[in-house]
Amino acid sequence: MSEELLIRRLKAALDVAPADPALRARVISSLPLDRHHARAQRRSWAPAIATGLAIAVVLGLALTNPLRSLPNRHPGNVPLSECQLPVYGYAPYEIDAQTVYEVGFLDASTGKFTRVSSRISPADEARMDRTSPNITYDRAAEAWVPVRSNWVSADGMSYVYLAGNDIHIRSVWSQSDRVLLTGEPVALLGWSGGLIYYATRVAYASDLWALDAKTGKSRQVVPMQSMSEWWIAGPTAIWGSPYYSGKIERYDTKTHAISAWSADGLIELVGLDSSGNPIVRRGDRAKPPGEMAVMHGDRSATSLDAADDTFGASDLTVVADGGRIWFSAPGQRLWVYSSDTGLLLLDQSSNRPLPNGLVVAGGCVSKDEVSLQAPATG
Amino acid sequence: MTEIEAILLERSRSGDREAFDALVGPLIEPGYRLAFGMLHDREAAEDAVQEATFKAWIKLENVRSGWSMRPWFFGIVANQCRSARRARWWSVVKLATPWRLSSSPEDQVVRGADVRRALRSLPTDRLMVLVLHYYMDLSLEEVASVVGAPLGTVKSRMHRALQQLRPQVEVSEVFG
Repeated sequence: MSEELLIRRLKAALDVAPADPALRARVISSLPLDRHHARAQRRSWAPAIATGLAIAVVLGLALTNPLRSLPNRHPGNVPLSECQLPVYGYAPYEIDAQTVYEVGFLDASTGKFTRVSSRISPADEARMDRTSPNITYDRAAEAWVPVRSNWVSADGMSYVYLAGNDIHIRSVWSQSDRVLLTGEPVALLGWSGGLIYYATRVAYASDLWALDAKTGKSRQVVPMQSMSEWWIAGPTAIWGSPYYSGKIERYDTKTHAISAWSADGLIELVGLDSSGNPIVRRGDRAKPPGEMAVMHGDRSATSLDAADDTFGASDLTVVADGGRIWFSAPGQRLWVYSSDTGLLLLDQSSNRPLPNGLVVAGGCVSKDEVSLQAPATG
Repeated sequence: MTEIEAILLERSRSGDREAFDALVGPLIEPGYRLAFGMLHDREAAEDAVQEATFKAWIKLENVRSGWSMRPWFFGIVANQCRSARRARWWSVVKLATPWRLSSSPEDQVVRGADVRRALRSLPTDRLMVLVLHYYMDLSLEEVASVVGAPLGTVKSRMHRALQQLRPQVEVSEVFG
């Protein structure tokens, strides 16, 4: 490539965000009138601001702690600059030839990883697949639970899990455990609208069931259909995909209507955003799906990523966090998307020590919440 | 520095914000462009320019007679960007775009996403000289003055930056 062309492309690539016409007026008007004392004034504000923040934090803790049993903190309300991201991964050592996972919080501003004790019970640890665990930080209960996020109830006080063919429900704090369903093998999809959804699968056919945790009774909501599979429970719908169709299927838990959503090319369901909209990877028959998008309806989607190779065909973990969506993939790769910022990528050059195989375990929490967690020992 | 600039500088030093606006105000938009070229993030660029302007306001005594305001102010913006780049742990991959029916390599080239990705991988000092010279159209002497390095060092950084950049955007030659 000629240098001239390279430079032309460089200019064109940078010339994409013209300055706000009001920037100059805004900047100049923000300057302190007394420039000789500006620096001193700025410094003198610092203790006052710090005191104010400290008071706010103390007040915040005083107000929130008595309500500890309620889901009083809402995902997504922590700014990215203050975000402590719950993550887990594998420690670089083994005990008794078993891979050891570790949990902690990743400071989104500095990249610092704070390891904490998961306090996951030995019984749960024994049941977990330690080479590929699913761990969620249950923010409402301020606890780490050994299941994927949509297996945790909406109030965060209990979670469901599979033990063999049985569906159990367990209280996060008391650890009291109850078998809800026993019998044939099922695929546990998670909570939606206060009910637990699961599917039974026979060859290339699947049906869908809703289970009431209070009564223990379940009813079939979608009959067995061939070439069908249900995957994820969201806040208002259950999502699946007919085999080899390149489409996704939506079962509305309120109206019980089933609709098929499609887009140009093949789509693969990878997760849901906070509103329950499906996050899909899009591709075509010539190459595996790669481009990421959020769908809002049949043939309606917003691309999260202009390129189709950012996420590749990686095995992704997707976590909805209010207006943000977190993605993690093997190789300690982390992304966050919001409509305000677009897609942001963890800068690998920070070269900070992080657990191997980093996986996002929940939405952002504040530093105060992290300080309530017990630091890991050893 | 022109005579008018010298007068405006004196009035600014005495705390005249209007004079400061006349002196530094025209540099704010180019300062933003420099910051955006370095940080690739609108908000971060605006923050960097705001902070740099504040520093310029309180450090006017550092301007010596004969100095040009442009490299002096850009030097402050550049330092601000260096700090911001050091502090930033996240980098913008690309902004969300509406759903596209196709996302061919040609599309990416047109949008410049590949070049911006390559630019982000450059070390700060190399990116700085590229942005100042090719995007801000500063002469190499002015670039040297902004970054506070000898002319030879600037030329060498420029050469290395282009060398590093070239293979990463080579594919675009086909569509150029």
